[in-house]
Amino acid sequence: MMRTLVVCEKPDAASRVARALDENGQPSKEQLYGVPYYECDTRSGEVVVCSALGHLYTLDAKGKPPRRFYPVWDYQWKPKSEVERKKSARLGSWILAISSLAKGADRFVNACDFDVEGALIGWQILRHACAGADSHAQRMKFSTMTERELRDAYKQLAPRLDLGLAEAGKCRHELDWLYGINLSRLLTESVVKNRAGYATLSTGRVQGPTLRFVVEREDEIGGHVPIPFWMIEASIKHDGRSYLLEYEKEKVETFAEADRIVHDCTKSILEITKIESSETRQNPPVPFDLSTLQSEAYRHFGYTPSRTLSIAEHLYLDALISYPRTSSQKLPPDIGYETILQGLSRRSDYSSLVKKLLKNNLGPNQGWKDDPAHPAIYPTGELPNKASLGYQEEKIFDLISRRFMSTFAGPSTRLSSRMILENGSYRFFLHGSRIVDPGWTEYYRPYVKDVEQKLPSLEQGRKVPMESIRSLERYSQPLPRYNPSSLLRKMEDENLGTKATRADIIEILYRRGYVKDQRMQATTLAIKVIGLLDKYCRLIIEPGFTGRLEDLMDQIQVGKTSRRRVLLEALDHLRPVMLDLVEREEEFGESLGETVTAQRVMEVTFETPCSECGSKLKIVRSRKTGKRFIGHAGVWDGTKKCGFSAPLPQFGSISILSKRCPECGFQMVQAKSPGRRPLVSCPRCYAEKARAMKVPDIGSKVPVRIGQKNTRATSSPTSPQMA
Amino acid sequence: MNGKIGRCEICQLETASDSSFCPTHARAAKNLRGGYDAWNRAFGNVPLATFFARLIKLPETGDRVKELVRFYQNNQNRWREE
Repeated sequence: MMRTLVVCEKPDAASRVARALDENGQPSKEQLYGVPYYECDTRSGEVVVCSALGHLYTLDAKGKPPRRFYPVWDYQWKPKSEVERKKSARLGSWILAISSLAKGADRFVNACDFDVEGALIGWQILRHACAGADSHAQRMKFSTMTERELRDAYKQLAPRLDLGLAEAGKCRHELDWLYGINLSRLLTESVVKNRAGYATLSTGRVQGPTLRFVVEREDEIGGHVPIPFWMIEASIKHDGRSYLLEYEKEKVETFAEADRIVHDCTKSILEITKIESSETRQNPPVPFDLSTLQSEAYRHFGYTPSRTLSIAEHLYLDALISYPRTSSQKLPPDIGYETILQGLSRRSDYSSLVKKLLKNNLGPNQGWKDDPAHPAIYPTGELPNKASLGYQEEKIFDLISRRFMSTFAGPSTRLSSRMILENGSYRFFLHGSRIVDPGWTEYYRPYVKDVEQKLPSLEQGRKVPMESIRSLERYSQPLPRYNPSSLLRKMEDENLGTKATRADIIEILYRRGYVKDQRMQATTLAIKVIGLLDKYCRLIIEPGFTGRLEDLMDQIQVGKTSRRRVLLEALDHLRPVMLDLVEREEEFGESLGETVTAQRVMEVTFETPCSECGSKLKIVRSRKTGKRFIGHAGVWDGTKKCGFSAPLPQFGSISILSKRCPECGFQMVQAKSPGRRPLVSCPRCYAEKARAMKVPDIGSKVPVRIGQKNTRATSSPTSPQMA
Repeated sequence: MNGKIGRCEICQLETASDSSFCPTHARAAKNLRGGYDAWNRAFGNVPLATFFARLIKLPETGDRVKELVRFYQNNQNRWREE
């Protein structure tokens, strides 16, 4: 009897695939070296479904050069368990288990995600752990984890692996490794040799140009000179209600002109000279690709791109939505529009909307972006079990479902009106709008605002007195800082990174101390690093160069160029640059050393001085208990007598934000730990509340969220809430 | 220059060519002069001291510009010389 080994990317995916392939939907779960796998009975024989843990193989330097040696040019792919110190035993047993399962198999199937990373993960496992099975393995392609689609995909296996995708994936990892290892080790080593202590500094093929955007924006903001202008604020009164008028010029450039307008129009009579109306139609939105989903989730819920991606991946593994790492904004008919909508209609808040949609022919408003591997993100029609879905997952699921429904709806129609009021040569406008047909907006609420503004019932030729008029002095604003969502869009526009990696790159910028705050502010360290790289190896932080490499990697996928050719071209650029930089290591060290030391101090020092003695406050750690808190660094050696202290959360990493507490003006702190929403709080307010309520232990291990009770402290009715 | 690297008078970084400031402060200086012209057009004549005092107070003013303004407040002849 034939035995088939199916390799999935993650354990959750393996469990879903196994359930779909087993005749009775009840595969038997087994374990080998502690690694779970599934045995399924099918008509075509026995199917064993196992999984990877993402990448099981990684790159490492050939031979055994010292740990932080650079430049390195020779590398090889090795099992991750041999390279990474963390979790190495677990990763090792994973490869061992797959190798053992492969021994008894006659047929091999790669069922990893259908994208560059999935192609590479599957190819490496089949080649290295399954004794060269990549040469005759088949490919299972699917975009959702629903049982129907998984069964169909298994019936229609592609005869061979997608080597173009795997080669492009290999090339991307190799390029990133060569750039990342060499440049990052240069930065880190230069600081270590300058005796500024160890600090992980990094840059890379995508990270460098991305950080450059942030630094350039910081430079523009720092050099901003506000230019004055004036706005005219005027109003008329009709039927007891005031209506705000808009002056014909949005900005008046001189004080003299603004003064003259106010002088001439005060207590003047305005004549309604014209009333214009026009109907505007707005087409429904296009289906979500990953970056539009990330941008909408940031706009409505404040979720960072990496959090949105992680939530979307959970929903995908629960078979609730389609594969989220897609650049497509198109929904092909074969996904079954009607079946999906009928599935969604089982939810009470969607049922009336779906009923309305199903009365017409179904055709979504397709976007222009396409992805050969996957359609746009859509709900599968399966509904979540409310208890199993977290608060954030529920929000993203609702956003995706409503967006999906709205793409099938008609355009919204709005009647926009403009009343023109004149006083001699001065013209004012009064704008109004009315929704004629809500169209798609009805389906996308509450994620769309449709505000109506009524015009007063005045006809042309009528005269109305000016109720009030004044000029407001304003100044030009600097460009806004990037936030994670706008930076991600910028990366996409400049063709930097991939849909799967962009969010992680942004997270790294925070981890390395290059940026701080939600509105991404470049730190001195980031400005220094980019300054040095700009001076000595500008090409490496040029978005154009990295963008060209991205194009070349896309060409590998379709067989227009080879991995070898792209690597050679990149090395031609990198090698001479690196050799020159090695000579400048000391210069880098001198320049970065001081900044690293200063940043280390700055990261733990508050700008807000102590309210009792006026000296600087720092994050300090108690020598006795090991707990961290806010206090004076000099208390212990007797140089400071002030005993002010405030508690800090004892979990995750702490960062001091520029944001001030609206109540007391003290700097807010953020505690962040993996898999948890960051906790932002004011330590001073917390301390005061705690003191007032006499709570002895306020360094809770359980995060207390703003406006949410501390679950651990529920036994104490007097426990405070973080302000 | 005698082959010596010039240092920015504000932050001590290497100077930009034809400037006594680093590239960042040199850009800010250019914006500051352009800004002064715009302020004069907007308000009529604005005394330099008033312009500087207002800029320091405005939250929209960039940090590099504020550093530069403080420098010029302490070295008034430099504004006229450049």
